[in-house]
Parts: sequence; structure tokens; C-alpha cells
Amino acid sequence: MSKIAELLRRDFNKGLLVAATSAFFGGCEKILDDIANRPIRRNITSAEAADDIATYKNAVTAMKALPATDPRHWNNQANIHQNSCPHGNWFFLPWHRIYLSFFEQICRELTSKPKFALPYWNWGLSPSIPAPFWPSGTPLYNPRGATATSMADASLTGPAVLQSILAETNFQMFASLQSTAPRGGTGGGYGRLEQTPHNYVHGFVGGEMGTYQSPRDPVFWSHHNMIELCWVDWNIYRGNQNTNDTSWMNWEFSEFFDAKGNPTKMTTAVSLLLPLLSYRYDADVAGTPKQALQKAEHERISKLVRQGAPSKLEFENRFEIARDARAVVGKPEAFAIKVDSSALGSMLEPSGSKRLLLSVDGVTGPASPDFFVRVFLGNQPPTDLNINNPAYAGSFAFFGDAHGGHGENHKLQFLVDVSEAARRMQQQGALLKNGALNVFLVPVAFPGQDLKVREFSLGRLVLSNIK
Amino acid sequence: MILRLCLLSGLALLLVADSPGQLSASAILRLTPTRSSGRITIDGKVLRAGRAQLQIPVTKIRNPKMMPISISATVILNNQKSGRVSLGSFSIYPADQTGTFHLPVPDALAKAGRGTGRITIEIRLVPGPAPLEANSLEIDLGPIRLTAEPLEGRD
Repeated sequence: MSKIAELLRRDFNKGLLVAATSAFFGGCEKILDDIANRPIRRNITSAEAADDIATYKNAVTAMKALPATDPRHWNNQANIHQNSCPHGNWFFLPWHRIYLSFFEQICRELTSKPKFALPYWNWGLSPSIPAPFWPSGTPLYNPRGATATSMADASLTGPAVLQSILAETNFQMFASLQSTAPRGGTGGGYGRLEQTPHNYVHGFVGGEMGTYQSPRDPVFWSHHNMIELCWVDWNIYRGNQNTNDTSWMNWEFSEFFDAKGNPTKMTTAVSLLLPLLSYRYDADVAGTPKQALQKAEHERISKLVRQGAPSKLEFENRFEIARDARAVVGKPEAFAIKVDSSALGSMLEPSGSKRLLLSVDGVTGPASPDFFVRVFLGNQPPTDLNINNPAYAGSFAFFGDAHGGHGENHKLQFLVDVSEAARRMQQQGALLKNGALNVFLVPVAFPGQDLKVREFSLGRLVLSNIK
Repeated sequence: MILRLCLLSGLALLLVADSPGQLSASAILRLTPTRSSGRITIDGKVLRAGRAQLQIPVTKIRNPKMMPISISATVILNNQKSGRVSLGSFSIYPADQTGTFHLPVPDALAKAGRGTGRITIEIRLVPGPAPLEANSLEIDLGPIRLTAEPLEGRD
């Protein structure tokens, strides 16, 4: 499993969305790099998709060859859909997003291709079932009602219909209607994306695609990948808002299996992060290349990081370390606090389950975000500013352009999970000095950047431990 | 006696489509391969409240061959063929799954309809790649209504 997926499973499922998201962005430069270079889901008709198509064929073959008892077996994956898929209500989109994401991770695992991304079929631009799904006898083939030359009806899947659906601003009209549960709940009703292109393509392809066993046809996964692209375009590229109803956000889906075949869970709220953290698209629904959309995507990530998402943090202790702190670029700035070690409890034990978070509040967004901040712990200032230093705990950076719509004076908050570094340093006997815990913040210039800022305000530093 | 009246009124509401007359909004519309369209009249007053959508409950489907089903809705203005405004189409998946479908009423049409009392809507089976066999399909829809109730988007 990728590091990103591992973090999603480990941290987000505990409901610590704010902490995890912030630690995510502020805690590890490697992960930040992984996010920036996350796999690209490509149009299956593009030449660039050739490698992913080959991997997809190998993955389908490998899944069909698994023991029948393996939950990753091709038929067992289809049974998840048969038994649990929500249709005709607002759980339709998040459920299928999560379903595809775990399927994609299984494909990566079984083919040893960690950068694999599921290709999508853009039926708006290519109304016939694409060539990789033909002919009979090849891995992506399944008996169908449609032939290789059948054309989808443009009045249900064409560009004009899609643009009209994407112009819908009401979440439920776009994404299907409120229901109290994914299946068997009260309420519900079809929204435009599901009832028109989604439903139509299932019937148009025919065969098993017309039934709830539709995932047995490999075209299902590329079809739903296009539905996912429609949601990404509507929500992220165009900036339309999903509902924030807690019954939708907090719903936990538990019918899935991860890359290793272990049962796993994910809430709707966590699924909202998937297209920002673990995959991206080469183009929007209209076929506009991805590069033109990066700014919008960055703004979305930036907003998410700065504002957080609904979450629950249970703090046990808070220790204010400093107020109105300032730091100079390139120079470790030390902040120390006397800590009652009993207050940290089991947190510092090697197998401790508690986490220690450094909160940096009231940070003034620099006019020129050409540096980031590394956090170190220990009984003496770090001489090695490399991230391989055991004292290194994490980092935080400033996303997007300098102003990002918030203004230069907008106050930011960052959280860095310093638990692992604290345990490492404790084991080396190098964490506390005279009963005080030392935190060192080092503003570091991005490689090749011409620094415009030499000193900046950090605001308030607080150390907290959470359950 | 009361039971008999109820049964009779229920039967009266289940009218077969494609008849020259128009059904009231409370009627159940039945579409089949040989009677593939029908018209209903709807109270247009709801358009005065602002944004509206056409709500189409599909209550019963008999489709033993699981033929793909798509349905379109068109507003007929002044009962003239030239005055037709498409509200869009939707499909059924799986092809025997009932549910309630929603088509938005374009703002321009909503504005035009605000002054009118009644609106005529044509519901039609969208032809698929293969012709449907007679007696192979029956779909009951209704009661179809315009609703101006705002669907919750975001607080």
C-alpha cells in the first residue's frame, strides 16, 4: 500500500481529519512530493494511457487467477457492488469513489505497479466502447449487448448534456438526493449525473453491465472512473460545494478490502480527500488538459489545509510553548517548555498509542512563500538540518500563490505530528534537557528559490497530546 | 360501497398513454412499446416560487428481457408542435429498477410558465439501438409533478 493510502487508513479513519490533514501536509516532505506526483488517471483513448491499459489487463488476469476465497478475486469484487452499492441517493458518488480507489490499489499490488492509475472512458468525447475492451478473448472483454461500433446516444451522454449537468449548482440535483442510509434508507431519488449518463451507459453497454453484477465487465471500472471525473470537475475544478450534512459526511462504509485483501473502512469525509491526495486526472470532462487546472486544484488543497474539514480532536493536555514567536530563515529557533513527563503518559513509550501534536497558530502568511519550516525536537539545537536527522519531526509549507485569496495578513494554523520523533529521541535519551522539551523551528529555503523573506512571524506554539 | 368507489377511482387514474387526450397530473402514465408516449397537464403555479424541477416517479416496470430503457420529457407550449422545450432524458439502471427521477426546468421556461395556469408535458420512451418487441415492456410513471421545493445543497 502506498504511504498516502496507509495514512488515509491509519489516521483519517480515526476521525482525526484536521490533525491528519495538517500533519499530512505539514509533517512529511516525502508525502508532499508523493501528492504532487500522484498517479494520473488518463483517458483510455490517449496514447499516454498505453502502459496503464497493459497493467489493467494484467491486473484483471491476476484477480481472476486468485483463489475464490480471496476478497480481491474478480467475482468477489463484483459481489461487493451487488450486495452494497447505493443507487438513487446521495451516497452513490462517495461509495463508488471509495470502491474504485481500493480497486485501483489492488491492481497496483497485484501487478507491482505502484504508479498505476485506472484509465477512464470519456463517453462524452468517445461514444463507442473503446478498443482496449475488444475483441473477445482478451482480458478486458466481456459479452455485451453493444458492439465495437455501437454509438452512445448523444442526448444522454454527449458534451452538451454533460456541460448542462456540470452547470448544475445544487448538490442533490447533481449527485442524487438525500437518504438516511446507502441502502434501505428513507428519502432518496436520482440526480442528473446518475440518472442520465451513468444509468444510460450501463444499459447501452448491456450484458452484465446492465445488472448489479456490472463490475464483472472491465468497462465498468472505466465507466465509473468517468463518473468520478465528472464529480472532480464539478466539485474541485468548478468549485461547487458538496453537502456538509453530517449524516452524509460521517457515514462510514465498511464493505471494502484493501490492496492486501484486508477489510477496511472509510467515511465520506475522508473520501473527499482522495482526488486531492492519491490520484489526479489528465484532463477535465471537456478534455481540457490537466496543466490548465493545476491552479484551481492547488487553491482547493490550500483551502482544505487552511480550513480543515469536520473532525473531532480530543486533547488531553496542552502546553503553551511560546507566544508571538518569530524565526529567521536558515537559523534554528529554539523554544523550550518544562513538561511533566507523567502528563505525556504512554505517549513516549515505544508502543504508545497517544500522539503529540505541535500546533503553530497565528502564522502570518508570508508575502513570498519561498521557504518552508522544518521542526526538530531534542536536547540541543540541530546541526544537521536534513530530514534524515532522527530529531526531525516534520515540516509545514505555504501552499498556492502568496495571497491565495486570503490576503497577506491572513492567519494560518499548522499542526505537526511530532510523536515519532519524540519517541526516537526519548529512546536515545536525547529528548528532554533539565526536564524541558525543546522544539526547534528552522525556516528553510526551497531549492533554487531566490529568498525574499528573511524573518517572519510564527504566532503561538502549543504542544498537545491527544487520544 | 366506499371500497368499490376507491377501486374505481384507482382504475380511472391508471390510464394508457398515447391517447389523444391529456392526463391530469395525478394520473399514472403507462408506457409500452406500442404506446411509447403520453401527455400530462400540470399546474404551473409552482413556477412562480422560483427554481423548479419535474419529479417523475417510476413506480412499476415489467421488463423481462431487461431491455435498456430511457425516457425523455418535453414541455409542449400552447399545444403546438413548434413550441417544444426539452427538459432532458433519464435512463433506468438496472432496467427494472424503480425510483424517482428529477429533470430541471430551464430558467427561461420557468419565467415563461409563471403566468400560465397549466403546462403540458410529453413523456416518451427514447428509441434504443434495437426496436422493442410488443408486449415486452410496461412502465408506470406518476404522479408526475413540478416541485419548487429547494433541495438542500449546502448550509
